[in-house]
Amino acid sequence: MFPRLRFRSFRRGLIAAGCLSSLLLCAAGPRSLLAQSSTPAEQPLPLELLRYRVDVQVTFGSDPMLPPDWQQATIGRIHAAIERSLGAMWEFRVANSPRLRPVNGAGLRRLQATELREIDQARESYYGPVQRLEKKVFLTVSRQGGRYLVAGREWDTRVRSLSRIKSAFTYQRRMVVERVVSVVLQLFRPVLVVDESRGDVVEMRVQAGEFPAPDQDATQVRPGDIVFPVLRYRDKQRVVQKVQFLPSTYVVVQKVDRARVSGVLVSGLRMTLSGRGRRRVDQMGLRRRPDYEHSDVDFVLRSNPRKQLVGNRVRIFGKTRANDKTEEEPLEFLTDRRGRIRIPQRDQFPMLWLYIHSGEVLLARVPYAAGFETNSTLQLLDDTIRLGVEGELNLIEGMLIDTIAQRAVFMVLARKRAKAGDKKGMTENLERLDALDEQQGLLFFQSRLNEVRVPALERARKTRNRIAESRVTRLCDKLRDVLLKSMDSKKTKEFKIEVGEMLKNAKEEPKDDGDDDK
Amino acid sequence: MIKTHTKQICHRCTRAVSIWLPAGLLLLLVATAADVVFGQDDLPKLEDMQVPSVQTLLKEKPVDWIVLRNETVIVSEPVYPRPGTLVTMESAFQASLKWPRARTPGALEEQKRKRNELNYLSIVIPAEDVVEYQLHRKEIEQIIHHEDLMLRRVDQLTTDGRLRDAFEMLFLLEQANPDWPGAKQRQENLLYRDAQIKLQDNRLETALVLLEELHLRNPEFEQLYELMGQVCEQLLQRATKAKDHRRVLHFVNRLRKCKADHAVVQDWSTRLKTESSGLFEQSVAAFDEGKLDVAVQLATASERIWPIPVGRRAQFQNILNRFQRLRVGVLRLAEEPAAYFLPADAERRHQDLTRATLFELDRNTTIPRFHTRYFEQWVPTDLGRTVEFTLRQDRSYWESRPVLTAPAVVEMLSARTRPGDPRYDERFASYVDSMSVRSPFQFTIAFNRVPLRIEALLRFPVIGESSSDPGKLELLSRRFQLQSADAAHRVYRRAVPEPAEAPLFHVAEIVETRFDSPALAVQALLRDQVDVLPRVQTWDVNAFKDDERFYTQKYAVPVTHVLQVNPKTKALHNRELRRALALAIDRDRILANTVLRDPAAEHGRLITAPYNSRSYAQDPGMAQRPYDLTLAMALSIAAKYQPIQKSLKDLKQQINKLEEKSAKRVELEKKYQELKANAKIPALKMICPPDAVCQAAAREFVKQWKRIKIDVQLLPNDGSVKGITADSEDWDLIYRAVRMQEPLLELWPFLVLEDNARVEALRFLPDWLRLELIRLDSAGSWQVAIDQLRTLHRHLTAEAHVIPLWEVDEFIVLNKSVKGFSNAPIHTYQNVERWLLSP
Repeated sequence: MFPRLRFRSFRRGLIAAGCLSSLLLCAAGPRSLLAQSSTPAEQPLPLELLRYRVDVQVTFGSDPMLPPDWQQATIGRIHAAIERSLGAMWEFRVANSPRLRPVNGAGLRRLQATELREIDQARESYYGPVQRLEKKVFLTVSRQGGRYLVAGREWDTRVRSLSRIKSAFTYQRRMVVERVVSVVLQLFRPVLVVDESRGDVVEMRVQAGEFPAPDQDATQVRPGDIVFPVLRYRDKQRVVQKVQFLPSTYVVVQKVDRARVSGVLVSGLRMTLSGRGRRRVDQMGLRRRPDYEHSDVDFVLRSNPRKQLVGNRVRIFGKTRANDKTEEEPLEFLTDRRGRIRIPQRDQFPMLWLYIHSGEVLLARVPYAAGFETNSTLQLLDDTIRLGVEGELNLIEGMLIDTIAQRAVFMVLARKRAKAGDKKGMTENLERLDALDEQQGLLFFQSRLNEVRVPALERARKTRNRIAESRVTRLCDKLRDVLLKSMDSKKTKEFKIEVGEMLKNAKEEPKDDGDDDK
Repeated sequence: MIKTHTKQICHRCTRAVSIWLPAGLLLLLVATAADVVFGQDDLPKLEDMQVPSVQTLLKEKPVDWIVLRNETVIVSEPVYPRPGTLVTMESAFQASLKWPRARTPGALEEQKRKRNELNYLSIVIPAEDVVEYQLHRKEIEQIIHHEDLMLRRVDQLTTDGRLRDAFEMLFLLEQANPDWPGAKQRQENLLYRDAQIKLQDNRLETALVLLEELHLRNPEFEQLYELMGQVCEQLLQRATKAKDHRRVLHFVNRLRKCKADHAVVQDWSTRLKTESSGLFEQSVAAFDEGKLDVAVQLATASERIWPIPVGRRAQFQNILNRFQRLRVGVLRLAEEPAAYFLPADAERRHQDLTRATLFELDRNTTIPRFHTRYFEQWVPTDLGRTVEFTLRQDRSYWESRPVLTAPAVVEMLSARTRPGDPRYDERFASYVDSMSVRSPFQFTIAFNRVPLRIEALLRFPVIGESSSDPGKLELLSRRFQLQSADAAHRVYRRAVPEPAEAPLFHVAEIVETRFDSPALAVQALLRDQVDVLPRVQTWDVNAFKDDERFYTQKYAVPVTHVLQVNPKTKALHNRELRRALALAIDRDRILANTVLRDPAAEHGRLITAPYNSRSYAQDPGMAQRPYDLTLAMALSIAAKYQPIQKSLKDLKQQINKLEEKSAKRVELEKKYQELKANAKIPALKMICPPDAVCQAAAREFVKQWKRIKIDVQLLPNDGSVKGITADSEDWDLIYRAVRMQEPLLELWPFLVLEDNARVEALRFLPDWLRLELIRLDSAGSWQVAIDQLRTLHRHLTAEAHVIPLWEVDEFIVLNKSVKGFSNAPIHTYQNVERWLLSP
């Protein structure tokens, strides 16, 4: 007999409902899970032949248009419709569960991963680890105004993750079943296991991959899909202790051959999947499809996450690998006042690379899949000191260009005068050149450079920002080299000798058209 | 008949007397022969003489006709004395009879000889030049002088209708002999005749002027007033037809000045008085019915037709006082088509008049001061992170704004934080954390970060959903609203009229009238057709200051003139080109000669930043940009080669690797030279505000840029260029005349040519400069903000995205009938709700 349980709270109620439904599922008939998994002596089936064991719980709203007999009939029709779509891929049951309240998106939103995990644990404590239930689908059918609203959420017991809420509506009651199936198909997140990893190429197998879905829309994995790698850490008793989604790491599906899936591992953290190397770690993947039309990414300072990076230039390339070449022009964004950019989800570019620039420097290069999260945060290095130096050096460069231009003008004029044998004119221009060198010569520019360099380095040292320190030094050294090259006093001396020679030659030669430059 | 006497030398040749005396004898022989030449039978009869032609009279030597007793005529050189030669001679002879008797026989003989000489007139025959004949006066019937001949010719010309020639001849005659008998009469006749012809030609005003001239010369001239009456009648009819009452009155008065009791004056005075009186009656009726605007319109029209009689003057004033109409003379009305896409002077005036902001700039001291008419109080709490606002629940009787409630204001404020809403304000949204309505007139704003100046941050109008048309936005914080508009006028009225029981009435309606030129606008002010000129030319300012009929007030913030580049123009991404453009402008000269027309530049000065030179944001150590054509030229050459710099460098490297005189090298060298020769700075297009002074200055820039080989085309503002926006690539440079009051918040929108401070709009700036602007926006203290502004000042000058030119003090001129305006107005219509029009 089932233990008698008293539901004092929603959470407990839910736990109890979960247990109850598992039991019901176990007792569902000849194809029950218990029956299948009660033969441990048998060789375990490979994953691609292992069908998903799913519990679909439907909660109906209390409305005169949703009477109990219709509900009962609908449960049956939903079962049939899911079976038609997914065929043998799922081993499931559909039950009417009155426990979810309120019967709408709000009720689904209240579902918490921790609570559902407790349900699983409670189930395991009652029936042992032999109980295998991989997914639960919570559905609500309610009436809002004239509409029939269907919403749902999926829970994966292995990766311990809740899906986003998906919903659909119809104005006709007879279409409810169709909407329910559509929501179920959207909620379904297939599970893959990593078999092998060579470089960034990952070979995977998809569960129940040998049972293709009759409905084309229910195909588990397609090229271009994104698989989110998950690591399941087990203890010595092979009990799962921790489930970890790898941040900023994705597998982009390249090729699908029934259950065999080949993809490219893309990671902003340079992570790798080791294939079969780690025995107590399950390397799995969860195929997801984009839930949103766009995703917001916030850029903050690593040293002070409360400080947003405003006005940073971000270029977004649609490519799989960092080194792939794209012909498509990148999307260009500036982070707004919240340090945020909004990235649109584009089907043709499932994987994006974000290049975050700060002046001439590339601050970071990270992969990103848009449409899966509404908001994510990226922490970056503080580049303020270096950027300030870049600005100041830019101004010095401007002044240097002015000086060089002026020098060039004086030199051209002096040369012309010398060619024409006009000593006075030549001397005048050479004097102007000397005066310019005295006012804005090498020393002047070097002192300006030091005025920028020294305080910036001090600030960088004070904040222990070594990267900034080295970058500032590099920037200043670069300009110093330019200064030394362009303001070389040797060149001026050589020029003076050259024009002196020119003047001599001009005096020796008879004058014919020498004065037309004046 | 002709008796020859001693030979005499022509009086004009006195200096040659000594030469001529020895030749006297010879001349005597010639003169005796003249007896034969001038035999009476040879002389022409007077009746056969023809009045010389105009050409003869004006170009040939003047001659007189001496008519003898027998009606024959001797043509001689001008005789003297003249005019009245014979009368003068007779008088002289009569006077000689009274000479004292001579005492010696010799003296007696001498006296007789002299007396006898007085009977003779000396004449010189033109053909014989210096030979002089003596003719007894008794033999002369009359002398027709050259001037008389001219007058006769004038008469003939007048008869022939050749008045221009007649006037010319008469003019010359009057110049030489102002009092020649008959000349004055001829002049009068000519004026009359000319007036007649002008009347026939329908040139009535000219005819009237001629008749007035004739009236001044001779009020007794026959038929003068009859013709004057005809001319005035037609003029009056014409003016009446054009409904130009001022003109009607003008002609009536002109005729009255000449002849007060003229029938036309009497007739028209009666008609106009009747019409005026009728309108005034209607005006009074409308006033009694409460139709104030109609009453004022009718009363003004009545006054225009005929002055309101003294007895009804008080009633008239009462009507005008109840609904005061301010007449403003402008050179451009808002929304007139122009290539200039930013709000020009007219559009800013419209905005200032129609929109009230939550906080308004009150005084422009070093740090601007704000005031508000909407809030009773605003109390910062939690170290400024929260501010509690209390809205005013009532308003003064003279205020034209509607009373706002907290939900309306908060709805608007929250709309400014919602991306996607047309009212979205990125800067404001970045400050605000939450808002809550505490009561109908109280609300609270919690800030993410404490704004440096809450007043400056809330300097925007309240725009909410229309109550009549949901979904449509409308301005809730109104001052005046546009009532009607046509090509020449725009009429604004108070959004909320003053109550009937108000103790004092203020301006209720503002009529902006467009004039084609500043001169016409000034004329209208002098004629009392307008009360205010919002902006006068700086060279007219001193004249107005000296005129006691007007108040001349300087605006608190001078207008800053700057050039700005289009961030989308690729050529101008080059800093060297931007700096070349800046360095090539001789600002001193253009400011003094073109903008101010004053070598001392009293009302203007050069600037280094896009805000006024007394602003707190000004870096005092910043030097003026020099005018350096040489450097500008060098930079423009550098800019010219910059886009092909890499190609040139690559080619040069390839050339250096090849053997000398090899075919490949020659080919590459040719390519190199071609590439260099084809390098060119593309022609740029400049937009300028629709303002004559700015246009003139812009034309000067274009000339100066031409000298450094940069072609810039000035786009016309006549409406032929359409569809230009801040985002378009159809322009490269824009000339802006702006009044930046609060650089802390206005600098960013100014740089990006928008109303809002969007980060996205700063994309064109280098990262470091963009970051500086963002840092300014997030400055946590006043000192940090000022430091940041000064850094920006320095960096913006170096980058030359904005080229500051000069600032000009602008002046508003008001008729002394206008009271209550600010001494140093921030904008034209500052506080206009409290302006009074006194009679």
